[in-house]
Amino acid sequence: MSSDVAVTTAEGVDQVTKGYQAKPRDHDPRWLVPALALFTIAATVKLGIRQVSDPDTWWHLKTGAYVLSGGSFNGPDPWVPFSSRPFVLTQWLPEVVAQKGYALFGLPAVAWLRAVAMLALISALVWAARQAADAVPATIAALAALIGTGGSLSERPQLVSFVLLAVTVGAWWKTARDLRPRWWLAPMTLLWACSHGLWGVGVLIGLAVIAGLALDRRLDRRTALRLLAVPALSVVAAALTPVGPRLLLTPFEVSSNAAQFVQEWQPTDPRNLFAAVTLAMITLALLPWVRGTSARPWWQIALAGTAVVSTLAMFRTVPVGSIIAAPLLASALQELRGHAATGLSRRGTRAWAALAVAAAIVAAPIAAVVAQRPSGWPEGLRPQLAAIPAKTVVLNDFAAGGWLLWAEPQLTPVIDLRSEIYSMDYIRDYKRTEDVRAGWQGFLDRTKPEYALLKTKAPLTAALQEQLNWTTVGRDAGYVLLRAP
Amino acid sequence: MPADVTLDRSTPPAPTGAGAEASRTPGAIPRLHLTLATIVVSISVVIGVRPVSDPSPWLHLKIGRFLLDGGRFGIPDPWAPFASRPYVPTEWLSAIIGQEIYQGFGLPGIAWLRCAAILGLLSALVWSARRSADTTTAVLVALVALVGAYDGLTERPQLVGFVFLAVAVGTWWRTALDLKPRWWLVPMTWLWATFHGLWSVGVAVGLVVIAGLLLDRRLTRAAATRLLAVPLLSVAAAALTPIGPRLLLSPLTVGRNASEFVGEWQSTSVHDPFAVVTLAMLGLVMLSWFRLGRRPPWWQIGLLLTGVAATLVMTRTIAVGAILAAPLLANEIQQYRGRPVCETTRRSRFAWVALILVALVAAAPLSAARAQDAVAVPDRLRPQLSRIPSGTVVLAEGDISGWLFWADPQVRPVLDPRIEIYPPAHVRAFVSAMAADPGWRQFVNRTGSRYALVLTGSPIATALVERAGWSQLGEDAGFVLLRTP
Repeated sequence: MSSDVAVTTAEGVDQVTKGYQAKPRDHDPRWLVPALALFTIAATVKLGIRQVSDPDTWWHLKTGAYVLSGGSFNGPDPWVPFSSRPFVLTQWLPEVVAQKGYALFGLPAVAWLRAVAMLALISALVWAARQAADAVPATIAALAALIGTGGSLSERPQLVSFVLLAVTVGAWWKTARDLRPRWWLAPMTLLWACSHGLWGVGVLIGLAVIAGLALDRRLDRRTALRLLAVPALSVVAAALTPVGPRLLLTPFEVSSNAAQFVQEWQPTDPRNLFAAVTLAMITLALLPWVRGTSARPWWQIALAGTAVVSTLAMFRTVPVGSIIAAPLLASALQELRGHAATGLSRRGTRAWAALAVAAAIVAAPIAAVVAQRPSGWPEGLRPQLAAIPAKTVVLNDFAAGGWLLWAEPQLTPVIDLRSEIYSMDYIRDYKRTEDVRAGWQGFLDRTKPEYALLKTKAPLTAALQEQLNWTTVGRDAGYVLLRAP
Repeated sequence: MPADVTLDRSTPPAPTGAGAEASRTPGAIPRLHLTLATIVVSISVVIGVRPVSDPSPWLHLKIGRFLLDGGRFGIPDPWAPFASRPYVPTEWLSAIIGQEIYQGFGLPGIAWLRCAAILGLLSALVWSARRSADTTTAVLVALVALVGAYDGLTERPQLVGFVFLAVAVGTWWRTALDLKPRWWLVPMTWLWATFHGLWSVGVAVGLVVIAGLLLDRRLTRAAATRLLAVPLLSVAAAALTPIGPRLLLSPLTVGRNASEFVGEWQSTSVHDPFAVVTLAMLGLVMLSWFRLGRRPPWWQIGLLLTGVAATLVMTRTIAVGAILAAPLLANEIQQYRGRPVCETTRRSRFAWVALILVALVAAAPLSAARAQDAVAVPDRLRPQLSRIPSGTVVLAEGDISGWLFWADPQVRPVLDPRIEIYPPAHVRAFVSAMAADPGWRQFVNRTGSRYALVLTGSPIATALVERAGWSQLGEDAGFVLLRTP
């Protein structure tokens, strides 16, 4: 499609856009789109290259190594004897890729992979927003969405999910306009299901759009069935990963534990910066709907509703709201321009891809300089930890469990961030001890730790020292290593 | 602009007609209204008549007694040894009325007062919604709004604030329709300011409506000036209460400490069922706007955005969102039904008043039967508490300290619900000590606490018993009374 041809609209698809077709088109200054693209890519690289600090990264790397050494995708946990539920490898593909990168180039490779994934995310966001708007509003909306996702852009497999979610939203936006099924979403879901558990959201997006189109009376039975086949086949594809059909149930298993104990699974604080940005995006997107004179299609309302619910449901899904909001905001900005959006040109697509690839290349040496050592973890305690006999149980801070598993694999932490492998009763027991509530010593009797790796200012640290006379072995990065008397 | 112009071109006026409803089904509709109103009022009585359970009224009762006895607050505070700012009794009239009722009728009197305020809120909500909707719609929507506001329907002065707010919202709605200033809002704000600090939200609602009307281009300069005079004079009136102009700054003083430390000042969780109800009300309004393609006026958009913001910003203001949502939702339902609004008749007004009076009379014996004893307070510890020497400092859980003031006036809690009078560092140290963070012992020593009334099994209770050797004097209602060795 040439750059000056309006996007094809199906009959009755988009009354607002159709209403603008006849109006004369604004022309952006020639420098604006390249400058905006350059700024967007540069800002993404700047945000993407930093030290490795996420508490989850470490057990993901360890899992990658486990898979590469022939470990089982679904079975008893190989590392923590206190776990009582199977460890299901739902994110093995990016874990393997990250571990391979780490084995070859160390932590800078992990930091570089994060930057590359963020470049892929911004590209996918621009592509999704371009389905609804010209390059300028699409890029602005994509940038806003990148900021909205900012709280979750760490070196974790979920980044892959965000990229694929943005692609999915864009794909369904296209489907909503031309009613053609995108069959490639099914194999893409297979890839997604090997990477992260958010693939189910992609299926839900499809169902929401189809339900909206049905309410808009734009689907005959045959078309509806063809479209419904895409999410149905996607679910089937997800069941075909090495984990098997069990994968379909893992989101429920993870959420039942994590929703109670893990902070990012708690309801979103609307005053959080990233949530506020996302809610502002949604509000701006909806304003033209409110002040417009035509009824909005149900499929767009369904997407907007999904974005609001995702943003407010839990901090973890704020990025989902942001990503869904990107094309909605782009569409609203396009309405302000007063004409229909132009389609993607091949030249523009190639230029963007070249820019992103160049940025990824530039990011490599920067990552090598910036990300040699992890940030926020007690690397200074490694000698003391290494001196502890193998299999010794360490009473650890919840967030530090992954790092301990990765850094000192000979030790046994009492818990780690994979909350789904522990029983609810066990986690509750651990929390009681962490808070030093009545009966807190029961957990010590249960796990018999000889050392503790805790935050220096944690109540449990004070209790162990004051009440049970544990002694300090060393301190680093806000952590203290204690030894039982 | 002529005074009888009710709505702008973009907003289809809600037609009114005195006999419209009666002419459709003579006889049946009034009976239906009466039945519905009786059910809704009965539900409100059931919600209203229950034992006194909120931790706040105790402090208000004590303040009421203190003021009636001629006491005045200053520095040092008469009760709190660690206060650094004089307490401003912004809710003095509700405190005095509550105390007088308590003197006459005991706790059932307080429970009855709460029920009366809930019925007052219901009536104000019906009145607010009734301008744009029929009785059936208005009553049902008012009930839903009451459910949304449920968290705030406790025996506290804020309940009176909600009644005034519902009246203010209904009044500004009428002003938005006929552009006539309601000067009586000014003396009402004076009265409101003697009851509770929510009066400023009433002023904000007025400003939002006027800003919306300006965006709608419905105001001449003269009309805008006249309307603006209402909120401005309201602010002036609030400065003329016995507290004086410092009342205007008190919301900021309270908010500064409370937003950091007090649960109900924290942002709303969308898992809160009352927030869900309120957001659903606002969501339905938006859905109607999106689908009906009828451009709502800016003043309604302003009210909706204010409602959404109030619902999300903190748990404490979910009720504000519900009150704002009531007329908006009623208006949309009426528009959807496509019927003219039947004007309120004198007979129906009398019927409503009679129904409320009957409910108030019925609530009296019900309160006497159900609310003789307070719940959620350690009443059985009073013998032990009464033996504590006068002037002794007690480390009391924040919420229960108000009850402690009231139950045993001779003791001195380290912190009480008047959080704005304490230095932030003291509040932070208190919160840290209650979590038994490192430094808790220094806080206990520094404050000279000899007794503690804290949650059973809490970190501080465990630390005091296990690490400091405090002994347990008794336990009741989830609280434990401890004494230093």
